[in-house]
Amino acid sequence: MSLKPTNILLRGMEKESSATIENYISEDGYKALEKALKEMKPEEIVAEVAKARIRGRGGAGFEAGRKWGFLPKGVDKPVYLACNADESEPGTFKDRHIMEHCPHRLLEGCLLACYAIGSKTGYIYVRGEFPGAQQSLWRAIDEAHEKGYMGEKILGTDFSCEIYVHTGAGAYVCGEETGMLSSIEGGRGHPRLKPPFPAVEGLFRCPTIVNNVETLSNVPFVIHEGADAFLALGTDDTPGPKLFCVSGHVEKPGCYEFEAGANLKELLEHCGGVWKGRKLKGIIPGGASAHILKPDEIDVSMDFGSMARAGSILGSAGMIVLDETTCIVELLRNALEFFAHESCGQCTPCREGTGWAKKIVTRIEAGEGTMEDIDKLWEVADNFEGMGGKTICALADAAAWPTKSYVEKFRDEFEEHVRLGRCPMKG
Amino acid sequence: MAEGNGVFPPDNLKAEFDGIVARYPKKTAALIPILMRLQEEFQHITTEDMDGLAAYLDTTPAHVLGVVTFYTMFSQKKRGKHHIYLCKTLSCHIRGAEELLSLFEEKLGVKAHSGDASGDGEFSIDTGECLGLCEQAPCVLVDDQAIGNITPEMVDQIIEELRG
Repeated sequence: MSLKPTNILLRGMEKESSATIENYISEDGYKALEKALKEMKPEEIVAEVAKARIRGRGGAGFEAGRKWGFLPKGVDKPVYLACNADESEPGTFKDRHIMEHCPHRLLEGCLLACYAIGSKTGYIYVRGEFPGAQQSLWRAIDEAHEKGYMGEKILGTDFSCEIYVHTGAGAYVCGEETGMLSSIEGGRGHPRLKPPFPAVEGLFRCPTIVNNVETLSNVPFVIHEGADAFLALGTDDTPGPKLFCVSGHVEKPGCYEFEAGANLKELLEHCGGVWKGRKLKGIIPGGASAHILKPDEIDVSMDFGSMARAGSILGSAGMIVLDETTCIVELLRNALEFFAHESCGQCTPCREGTGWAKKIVTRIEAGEGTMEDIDKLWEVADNFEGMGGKTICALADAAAWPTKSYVEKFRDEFEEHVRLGRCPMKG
Repeated sequence: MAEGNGVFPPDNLKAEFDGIVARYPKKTAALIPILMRLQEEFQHITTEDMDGLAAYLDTTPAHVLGVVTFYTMFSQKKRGKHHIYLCKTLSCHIRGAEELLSLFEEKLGVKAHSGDASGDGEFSIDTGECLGLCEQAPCVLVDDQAIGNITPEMVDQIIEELRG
C-alpha cells in the first residue's frame, strides 16, 4: 500500500498546547468516554473493540478485543489494567510521542478499557528513562480529575476509576508483559511462565489486561467513530492507523503516522531517503530484534502479515536505516551487547547464549575470529532461539533474529573480517 | 539514612512516600517508585535506606537489595549531582555516540561505569541502553532532561549549562 497519512494518534501534536486537556477536548477528546459511559454497556465496548481487530502495537500483534475477552467470568477479585509504556526496543519512540504530546488520548483509552473490563484501577508502566512522558501523564491525570473524567463517579455515572503512572528503573526485559507485572509488584523484572496468562492471573494474582500505549490510544477513535471507520483504514491484516519510528542514517528521522501497511520503500523516500546522498545498505524494520532487510527486500507493506512473509517482523515499527558505510559486524556486536546486558538471567540458553554470541562477534570484529566462528555464531543463536519453548520469554528470540539474519545476509562481510584480520570498513 | 537521623522515611519525604504506597493494594509495589525518588534525592541508595525501606514496606532487606542491583538506574555508590546517561545503542551508535562518550569522559574527568563522580561531585556518567530518543540521535539524558542531536562541538556548552 502506498503512503496514506492519518491524523488520529498524534492529532494536534504540532500545537504547543497539544498535551493540555483544553486542546484535547477541543478536538472531540473524551467524547468517546462520555458516549461509552452514558450509552454503552461494558460488553458492547469489548465487542466494538473486537470488531475493529486492533492488533497489539507493542509488537506481538495480538488482537486487543480478543485479549479482553479472555477475562474469566464471575471471579470475585479486582481486575487491573496495566498499560505497557516500557518502550525500550532500540529504535522505537512512538509511545513517548503519544505520552508527551497527546497524553489524554492514552488516558481516555485506559478509562475506556477499564470500563470495558470492569476495572477500577489502571497502572501505566513508564520506563524510568522517560521522565518527560511521566510528567506529562501526571499533569494530564490531574487535569482529568479536575474535569471529572477520572476519580469517583465519572461524569455522574456509577463508574469510578483511577489511573496511576508507575515508573520503571532501567530494564528492557520489563517490556515483556509478565516482566512488567513483576516490576509493578516491586520485584526484579523477571518474566513468568505462561500459562497462567495475565488475563487469568496477573497483577497481584488478579485478572489483568496488558495493552501497549499505541494500542490503547486507538480505542477512543474506535468508540467515537465506530469499528467500521477503523476497519476502513490500513490493511485487512492490520487495520487502523500506525505510528512509524524512523531513525539512523536518514535525512528526516522522526515519528510518522500513516495507515498500517505503508510501503517501507516509500516511507524511506518520504523521510528524504538515505542521508548524505549515500547508498542504502539495509533497514532494520521493527526494532533491534527484527531481521535485517536488504535494499532489494524493502518494497514491502508494513503490516504484521506482510512483514512476516518478507522474513522479518513489524515489531514495534522502529525502523533503523543503515547507509553503505555501516559495518554489519560492528552493528551486531552493538546489538548483542545490548541483549546480553538486558537478559534477566533466569533461563540458561538466554543468559549464557547471548553472552557467548557477543564474545564471538566481538572477536570477529577485532579481526581475531576464524571462519568456524561465523558458523558457531549462527549455531549459538539458533540454539538459544526459544520458540521451541527453551526460555520463559522472547528475549532470546529477539537476540537470535538479528544474529542469524545478519550472518545469513552479510556473510561475506563477516568472512572479510576474518580474512583481513581487521574491519574492512575502517581501512 | 541519607541524612543520618535514623528515621525512615525522612520527614521531608514521608507524606510523598505514604501517597505512593496508597496507590497499590500491596505495599511492596511502592518499592521501585520510592527507590527512584531516593536515588534522585540523594544520588545513591544506602544500606541504611534499604533496611529502613524494607521495614517501611514490610519486606526484607535482601528483597530490596535484589531490586536495587537488578535495575540500572539505581546506584549504591554516590553519583554526581548531575548524572548523564549517554545512549550507546544502535541509532545513536551509528551516529557518533562513541566519540561523544570519549569527549564527555575527557571533559568531566570521570569514566563511565566507574561508579565515580567527578572531583567536585557535580557529574557522573554512564552509557545507557536505547533512551527512546532515536530521532534525535545521538542523545543523552541528564537528570530529567533529554538532549538530542548532539555534535562534538556542543559538549562543552552542555556541561557549562549544567554547571549553571
